[in-house]
Amino acid sequence: MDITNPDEFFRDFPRLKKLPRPFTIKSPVDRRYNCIAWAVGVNDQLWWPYAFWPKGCPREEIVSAFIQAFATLGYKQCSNGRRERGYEKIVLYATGDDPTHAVKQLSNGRWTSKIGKSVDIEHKIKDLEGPCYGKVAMYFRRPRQN
Amino acid sequence: MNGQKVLTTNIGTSSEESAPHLWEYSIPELPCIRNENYGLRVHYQLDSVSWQTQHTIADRQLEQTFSKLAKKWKRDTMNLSSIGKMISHPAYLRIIGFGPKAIPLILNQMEKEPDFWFWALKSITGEDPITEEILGNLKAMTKAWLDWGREHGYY
Repeated sequence: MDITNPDEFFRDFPRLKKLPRPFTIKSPVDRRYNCIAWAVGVNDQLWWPYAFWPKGCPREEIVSAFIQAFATLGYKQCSNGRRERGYEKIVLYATGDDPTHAVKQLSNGRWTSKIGKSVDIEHKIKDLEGPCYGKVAMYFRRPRQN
Repeated sequence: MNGQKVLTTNIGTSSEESAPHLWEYSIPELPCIRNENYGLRVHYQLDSVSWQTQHTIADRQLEQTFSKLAKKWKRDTMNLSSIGKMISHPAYLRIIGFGPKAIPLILNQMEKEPDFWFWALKSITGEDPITEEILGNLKAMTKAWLDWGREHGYY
């Protein structure tokens, strides 16, 4: 598996450009699910205020709407992305009040992301910061689900 | 007959020799497509290109422009997660600006490769065949719009 358009990919995620590559591609391109769905454990649905969205949560592209959506699944805000026994964590990226992306922590402490309409990758928590996704804005955790 | 001699020919040929049987009389102010069973034919009058020919060229240009814009949109938004950003991309907005002529082009594109065209179609048509139950299901959302296109004769 490879990145479809490397120029655009590394333009969007300059921190991933260094060698050896600090990320691993884990899936083929798949448009059926997106980053939010992937972060909450869904791989056949698009989660976004304009697509599938938990009932009662505002259908607005603002950070508070995402906090509410994550809360419906038991996620509460926490202070960091360090691995904690008994918890699973997700991180929300944003540019100001515009949510841009979400990533999920793996049991090995690394992070997994669905990149837009593209592939899943494994990476370090802040390696997607840049012009496309902005910065890590918030951390969330919930008791680990089996 | 109150008309003048014009050459009716298939698109792509213009010489009398190539289609001598197509000479006929016609009212010059009313160029028309003739004998549709045998394909699109165009009246040429005094070497001027008819309205139909211009129309066909315009359609082809629209298709080419659409294709370029769609490619650019797909490429530029491949890594985006934000649907809001995807659908406010300048190429996407230009396609919406084409109006109803873009509908069959979008539907064809959607059938080949399902993608986030729903909001463009909704903006152009003012309709939305996507129900709450299928929101987020790319395959079902795509099918809903393709069905809509068939029902409305666009596809």
